[in-house]
Amino acid sequence: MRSLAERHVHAIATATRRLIAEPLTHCLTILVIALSLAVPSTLYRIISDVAFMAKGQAGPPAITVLLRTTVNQDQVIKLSESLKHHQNIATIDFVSPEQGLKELQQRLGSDDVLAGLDHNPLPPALIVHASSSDPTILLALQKEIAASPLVDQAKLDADWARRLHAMTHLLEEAIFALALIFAAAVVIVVMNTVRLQVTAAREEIEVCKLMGASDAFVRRPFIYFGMLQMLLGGCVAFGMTEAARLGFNTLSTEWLKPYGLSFEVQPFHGAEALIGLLLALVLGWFAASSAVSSFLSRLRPR
Amino acid sequence: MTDSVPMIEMNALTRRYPDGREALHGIDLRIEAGEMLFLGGPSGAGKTTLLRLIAGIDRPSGGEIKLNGQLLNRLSAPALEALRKNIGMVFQEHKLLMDRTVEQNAALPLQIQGLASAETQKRVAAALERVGLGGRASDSPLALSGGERQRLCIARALVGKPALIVADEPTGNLDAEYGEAILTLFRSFNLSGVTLVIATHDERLVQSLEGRLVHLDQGRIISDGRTHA
Repeated sequence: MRSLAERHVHAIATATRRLIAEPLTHCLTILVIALSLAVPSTLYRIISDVAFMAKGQAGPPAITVLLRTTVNQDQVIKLSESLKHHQNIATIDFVSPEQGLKELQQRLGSDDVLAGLDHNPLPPALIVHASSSDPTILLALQKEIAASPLVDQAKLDADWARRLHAMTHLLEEAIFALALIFAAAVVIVVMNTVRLQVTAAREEIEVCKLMGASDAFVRRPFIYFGMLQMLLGGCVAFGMTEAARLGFNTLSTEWLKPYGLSFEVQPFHGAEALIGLLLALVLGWFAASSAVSSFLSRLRPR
Repeated sequence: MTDSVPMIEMNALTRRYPDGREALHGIDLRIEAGEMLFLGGPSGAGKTTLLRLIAGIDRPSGGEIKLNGQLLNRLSAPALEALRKNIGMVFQEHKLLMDRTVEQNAALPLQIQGLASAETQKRVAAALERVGLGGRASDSPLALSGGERQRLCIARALVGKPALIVADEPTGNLDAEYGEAILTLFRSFNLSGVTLVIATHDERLVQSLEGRLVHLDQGRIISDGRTHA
């Protein structure tokens, strides 16, 4: 008896023969599949890198912690040490009253800031850089720090953090919706191609079923056909995404150079590309399987 | 009546089409293993419908049909597939795959059965030799005459070594000489133990061979006897 591997090899050979039989038609189908896969993946790549850069340019969200003027050096060190180990805090900078005054003078452009005052009224401060930009985490962290008896005020630019987070989230959702629409389009394209193949092979399928062929025997070459189209479409899409990425990088370098900035969209990692390709194969399997199954159900004895 | 299980047994078998037309009505028929049975009658008598029920292509609307004691009325898909693998089918319109060679067409049932390549080649070569197409293995069916195509169809039915062959008008498109040759070929299979059920409207041809002749008309059996040979 033929082994299972032999049957699959035979089905792949049949699928390949069908693909080669009409090269122009199938090349166009593969291009449509590739475009449908390339558009959302290119957008995902660019937008996720832009969002990452925006977060990086703005620096991690910071909470300005104004300590009570009565707090001494030892208490500040103790508080800093305890906050350093917090899971949502990345770094802490200490700003002494003298340093704060210096910065204020620089910002105002005047050395006479303390005129009329007998001492520096500025409190010691801590600039706490959070490790997350999630507004919920930031607000909770602000509340937690403000609860300390050493802290007078803990200020957070929550609006900015919320805006950045919402914008990134919205873009991610938009890409996800777009990807779903394009995935549906790909499934429809593959289903239609396989349906046409099934219609063309109608007589062959009927003869096979009359001779006792199982649904799996009939279905197998068409499923490989659909998956092969998706595999080729996925590979072309990968090439398109890379071309778009390189084009975008050239343009962004030109635009950002005068401002002393640089930004490059990174290529897909091996794992990301593999997952994308596997996803495409699953879509191909699903589309082809659905197209053949609906035809086979019509051949069952009534 | 014999006590042994017949190869095919039909009791009050009825087949109604979705439009309400009754193609078969209350058929009682018993076909023993090794028989050569001809189904005669005019067009629309129900011959093809009866063959389709035997092969499990259609399901009966009433009554029952058994193959080797197995009730076909409500067979599951895997059981139906197993059943069809053991039946050789010959169609009037041949149902050959024109984009494949003669050899590939004949090999189709063995591929479906999952037979190893070496054994497939051996059996296909023997089947083609038996029907006189030994030298045409690599030809396209398009290059064959009507009679040769029918012989290829028979080789394809034969290659799986079925215990039962059903043939629907196998001589329908052939002239008398070719038709006789085809029936003689069937007779040789029958002599080697294969049960044959052949639907034909050409009763003159049938009378030249020894066998059982069942006459159908308007979905009913009107006679059941032997041929004159």
